Amino acid sequence: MSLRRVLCAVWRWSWLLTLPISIAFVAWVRVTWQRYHTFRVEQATLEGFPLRDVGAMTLGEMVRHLEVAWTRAGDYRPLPALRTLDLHVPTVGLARLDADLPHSGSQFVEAVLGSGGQKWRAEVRYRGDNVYHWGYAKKSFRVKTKRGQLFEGMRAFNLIVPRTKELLNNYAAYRLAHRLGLIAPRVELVELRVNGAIRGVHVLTEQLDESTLRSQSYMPGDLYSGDAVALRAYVGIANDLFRYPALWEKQAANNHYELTSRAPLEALLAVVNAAPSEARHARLRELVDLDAFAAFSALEILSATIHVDTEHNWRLFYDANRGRFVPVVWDLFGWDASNAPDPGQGPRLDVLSSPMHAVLHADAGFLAARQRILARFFASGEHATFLQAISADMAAVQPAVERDPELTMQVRSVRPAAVVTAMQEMRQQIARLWQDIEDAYTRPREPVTYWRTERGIAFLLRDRVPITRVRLSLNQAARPGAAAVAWRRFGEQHQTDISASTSGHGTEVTIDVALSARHVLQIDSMRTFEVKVNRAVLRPAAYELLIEGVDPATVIDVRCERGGGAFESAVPGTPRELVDLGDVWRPVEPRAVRLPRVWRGRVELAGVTVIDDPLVIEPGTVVRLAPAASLVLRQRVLARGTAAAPIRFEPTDDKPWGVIALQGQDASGSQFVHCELRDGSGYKTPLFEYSAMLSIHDVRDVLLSHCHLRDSRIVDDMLHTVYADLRVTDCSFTGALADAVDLDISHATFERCTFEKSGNDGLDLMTASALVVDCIFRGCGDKGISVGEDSRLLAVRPKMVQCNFGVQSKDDSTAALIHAELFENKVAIDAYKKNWRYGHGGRVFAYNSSLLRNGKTATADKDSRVLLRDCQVDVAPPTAGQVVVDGHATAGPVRRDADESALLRHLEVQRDDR
Amino acid sequence: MLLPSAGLRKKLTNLARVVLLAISGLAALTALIFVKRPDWVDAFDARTVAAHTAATEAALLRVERAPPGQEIAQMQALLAELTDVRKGDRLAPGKRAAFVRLHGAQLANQAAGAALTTAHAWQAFDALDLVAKLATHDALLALPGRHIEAATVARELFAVAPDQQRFFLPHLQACLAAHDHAGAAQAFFAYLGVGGTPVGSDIETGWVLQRDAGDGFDPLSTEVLDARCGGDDLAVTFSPPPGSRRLRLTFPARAALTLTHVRFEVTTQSGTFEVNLRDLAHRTADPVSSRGLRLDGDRIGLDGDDQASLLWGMGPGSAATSTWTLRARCVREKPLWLDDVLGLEAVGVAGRALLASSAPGDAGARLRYLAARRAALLCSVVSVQMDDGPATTVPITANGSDAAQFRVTFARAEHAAVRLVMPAIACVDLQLRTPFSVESRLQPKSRMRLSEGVLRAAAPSADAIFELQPSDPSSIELIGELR
Repeated sequence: MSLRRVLCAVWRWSWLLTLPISIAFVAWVRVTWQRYHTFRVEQATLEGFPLRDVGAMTLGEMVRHLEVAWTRAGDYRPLPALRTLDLHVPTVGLARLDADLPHSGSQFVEAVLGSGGQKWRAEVRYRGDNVYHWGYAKKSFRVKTKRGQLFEGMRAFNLIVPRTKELLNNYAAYRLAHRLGLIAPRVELVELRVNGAIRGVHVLTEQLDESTLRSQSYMPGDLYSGDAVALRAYVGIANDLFRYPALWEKQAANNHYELTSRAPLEALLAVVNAAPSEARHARLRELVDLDAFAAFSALEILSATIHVDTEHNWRLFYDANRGRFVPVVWDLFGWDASNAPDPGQGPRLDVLSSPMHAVLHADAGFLAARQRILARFFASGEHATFLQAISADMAAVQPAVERDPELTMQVRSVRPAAVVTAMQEMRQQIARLWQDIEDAYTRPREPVTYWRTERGIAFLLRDRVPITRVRLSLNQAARPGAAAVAWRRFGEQHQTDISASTSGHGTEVTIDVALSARHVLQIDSMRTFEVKVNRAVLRPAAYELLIEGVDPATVIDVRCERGGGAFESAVPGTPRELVDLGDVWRPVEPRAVRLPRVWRGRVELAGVTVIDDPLVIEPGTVVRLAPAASLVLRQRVLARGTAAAPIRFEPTDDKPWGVIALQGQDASGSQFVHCELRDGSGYKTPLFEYSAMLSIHDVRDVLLSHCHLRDSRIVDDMLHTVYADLRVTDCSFTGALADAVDLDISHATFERCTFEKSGNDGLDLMTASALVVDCIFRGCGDKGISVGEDSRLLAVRPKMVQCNFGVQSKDDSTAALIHAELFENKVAIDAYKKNWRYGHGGRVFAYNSSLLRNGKTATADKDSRVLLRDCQVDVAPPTAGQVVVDGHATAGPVRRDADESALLRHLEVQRDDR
Repeated sequence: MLLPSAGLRKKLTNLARVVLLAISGLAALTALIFVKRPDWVDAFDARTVAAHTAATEAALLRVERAPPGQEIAQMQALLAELTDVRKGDRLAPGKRAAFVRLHGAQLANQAAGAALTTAHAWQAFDALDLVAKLATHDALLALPGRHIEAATVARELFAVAPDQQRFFLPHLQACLAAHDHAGAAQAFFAYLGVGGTPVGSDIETGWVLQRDAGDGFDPLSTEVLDARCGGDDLAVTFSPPPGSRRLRLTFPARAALTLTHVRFEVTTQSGTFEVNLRDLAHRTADPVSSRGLRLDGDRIGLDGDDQASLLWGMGPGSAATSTWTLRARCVREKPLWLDDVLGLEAVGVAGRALLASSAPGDAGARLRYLAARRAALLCSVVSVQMDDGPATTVPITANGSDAAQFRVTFARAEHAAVRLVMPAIACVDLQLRTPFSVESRLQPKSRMRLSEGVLRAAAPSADAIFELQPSDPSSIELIGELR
């Protein structure tokens, strides 16, 4: 064949090569130019979208699509270890979302969500502030279902595109947050299909709202969101969340206050901006849950993040019933390489990324709590368990990665192998980092030095591991008296009473006290991205231990526990002056011996009286409260009257007093016996509210026995508890303005109690459980017992007479009545669905009960059910609906269904517990 | 159907092959450039981006050079071109600049209605641009009969950022125009960042107590008292330290009011008794003396003196602990502090800015004002010692006098760093000259700026603290001036 013929053949068939190249090139040019022009030329986006990277990324994506089409054609079967979610969005809807990004993406369009063979009607839109959420082929979605069709208890959730090739940065951080007991959204790795086409791995992340709080056993309240970046950035002022309360939005609100009220947030910001002082830190502790913030800080350290900063990613929940802020974890973006400390600097052991962080790190109590949490995390083996779980997640997600057609991150098209490698490297990085953190926080590098002073024993502490307990060995027995720790700040000596932490046995004296080295904060910037340079540098701190009755000369050995439970000997050192602690506030936690106050005879109260000491009220005492006067008790109270000499709380005139309130865990174990309370109301401030004349907030093990409460006025309830457990025996509740007893997220036992003439309910449960034995509910304006919002009731021999409803159960709640008597009520038993946040209605199971002379015996809506087994009924309810009657009223047995079986199992457990 | 001839078909086929070959060649060339000459790609990238913004920048420049009268038309034309530009776009800053200029020009030309339209368009462009909202306020204020709407906008702006002067002043002026003295007072204190809750229209601060233990009145003994007001009833409580020979109670600066039914309630261990003004003179060794006020029976008249005060001797019984409460009824026309603001307004500037930058001759007056507000301007220089050395505190006081200068020296061998604590006082500048290079560790919110060794702190909202870590190995010397 001549050369000419060969050339002719090549020319003739050249299209076989040049046609696909041309098509691919034209497609490449079109897509590259479109992206480049939109996200580089027209918009100034975070990831830049330089032409070179966009071109390479587009080429990589085209190759990846070919590869997936070639190797995985038609393989859209669900994966064994990863859930697949299907979104069906009309093409016109997707076109509308893509029309003018990012602005067009924020408008919801109709869609259908599918999972596990079920379908939900929903709305979807794109979500996210930054371009990686909507700038690539794979998008982050916000999905919102219809109110009546919750998706596994959630109405709104996000399907978020992983930002980096490690994939798990946010997912793993949320998982870690759950293990540390923090409020964090529900999170799950899923594979997403949009209109049948695989879109790869997404992180299903619950959208924070009131339901998040309820699911984690918090009363709904103000949930503040601080994000002042990108399109949400203000112009004209610094976007400093801790300077301007107005920059925050509310994602959920306490409906007892104006929707626009930001009083708690304003109070917190006032503390953050206040001058450093002991008073600032006292106020800080009133306003924040220090342990929760310490856990949050521990999470930041463990996840190597600085992503929660002055400008964004803050979520703060104000728990009005505890009066404290709790951090909520959001978008930590853990273990991101771009935020890693500079080489040679070692791991970041303190995260100082906002003014809030700075204030917390100046508080020794916060530092001690964080150290405890980290030490416990490592000592319990939680870190190893977590790493195993992450390994399992990586294995589960790997098949989805291998068939993911859209592996594009940070303007790079990434190969599946690179993603798998990156995930494994991240896991190794976590393990290495945690080794360093464990070393720094739990393994002392230098021993504690001590020396004798004229008055006591002084310590010098140099490294991060604190002293948690001190044991002195003496050469003779001693009886330690009052004890204190002395320390210096800015040239002045201070002293903190720790007498309650000191105990002596023979020749040994033990002091439970936490003492830390000085943390000097080096804050160079509070701007986003620049905060990575901020650090806390450790400097030695010295403390002097002063114990009455212990002569320093008799001390022969000093040993210190440093968190681990074992004592190590302190090393004798050269006497020196106490080192100045500088900007470390509340360096020693005061623990003075609290002597109880005793009230007897007549006690007059006006205004608001807050008592921080234990209180004993003697029999026969009469506490007379002026109009609106309130008594807030933060320590245990023992009000034990007798039948002959009851304790009375009464008004000074015909105007109602405010509230008797037990507040906080330190009041646990309080008792009211033979007490009479009448004509009280409530107490409300801009920051918190007591909504009953006897209010019990966050208190355990409370006893009310032989107490009589009557005639509550102005506010809703007579007795209100939240986050509490209590036992109530032989008490009466008469003439409540609305509810006699209101239990929120509490557990209570009522025995032989009477509830009469309540304006509303006799007993109202919300996310609570109650055992009611031999109680009478008479003449209640609404329900005898209302069981709502995921509550549980077991009532044995209750009697409901002449109430509007005898028992009503709603919103995924269960009530079990045994040997109940329900007479002359308008409706004896009712069950229905009221709140869309709960997927189901109510359930009532009545056994061996009498339902006579009621207007209606039992009613239930389509989401609820009522079962009457072996009951005496004079008017048979219609049995065609959700009401099922077995026993005397109908023939034939009714098989137990799942609900009833669950109830019976629950009762078995309760019986075992008792 | 008419098919092309075989020759034509061949030509077309060949043409297609040529086109495909050319495109493929172009693809190869593109790939080659991306791989071998990425700098060309980057240059193209930069030029494309620059070209995109160049037109807008040029248009803005043209407007600057435009003859008077054409500026508005040109700016409107530019904005019409930028209609599709949204927040976050690369041209968004240019569009915003166009809004700023157009609005300013319209207001200058007394076209307030058009300025309002522009401001609304600006707000539609960026609802979170507070300057746009301020522009709306300015336009509304310039329109007759719209001042109530303007006041509403001013209040909303002030609620977002009360510490910003540009939002504070419109709100303050709106309050004053509406005779809302309580609102104005609240705004004033919020702006200064010193707290303060007005009760109705009663704002009484700046009662100052000083004591003489025998060596004259010590500025460091100065104590600021807060008055409680319920309606017109006034109560000022203080506890003279044991050993006080004389007390001086200075009334709020420039207070113009009359106090009636004036009496003192004195509580000691033996009980509570009442002392009226006449008794005050009789029961003590020294007679009551007064400055800048008129005593008439149980009435005290104040005519707006800067340091009106009441001075009396405590007598031999002063060693005992006692609590004194001045009770009176207050008759006045306006809250006390308003004099300051109104006085400042008279010269065209209000608030902190003027107080901080007033002429040197006014320094004493300003400090007296501060002294009345906060008793003393007390700065502490605290040296932070090396790991185990002692700390030192040097107080610097400027109390009701002219600028105070200080020089403090620490031995470097003993001191690692120097810390200066400045109290939260409104309206004060502080300059600190540090003759050494400084690595500063500024506390967040300190609102201090360090430049070329000179530290300038202007009116911190809270006690400001900074730490200096000098590199000089020998000693640390601070030369400062409170102005």
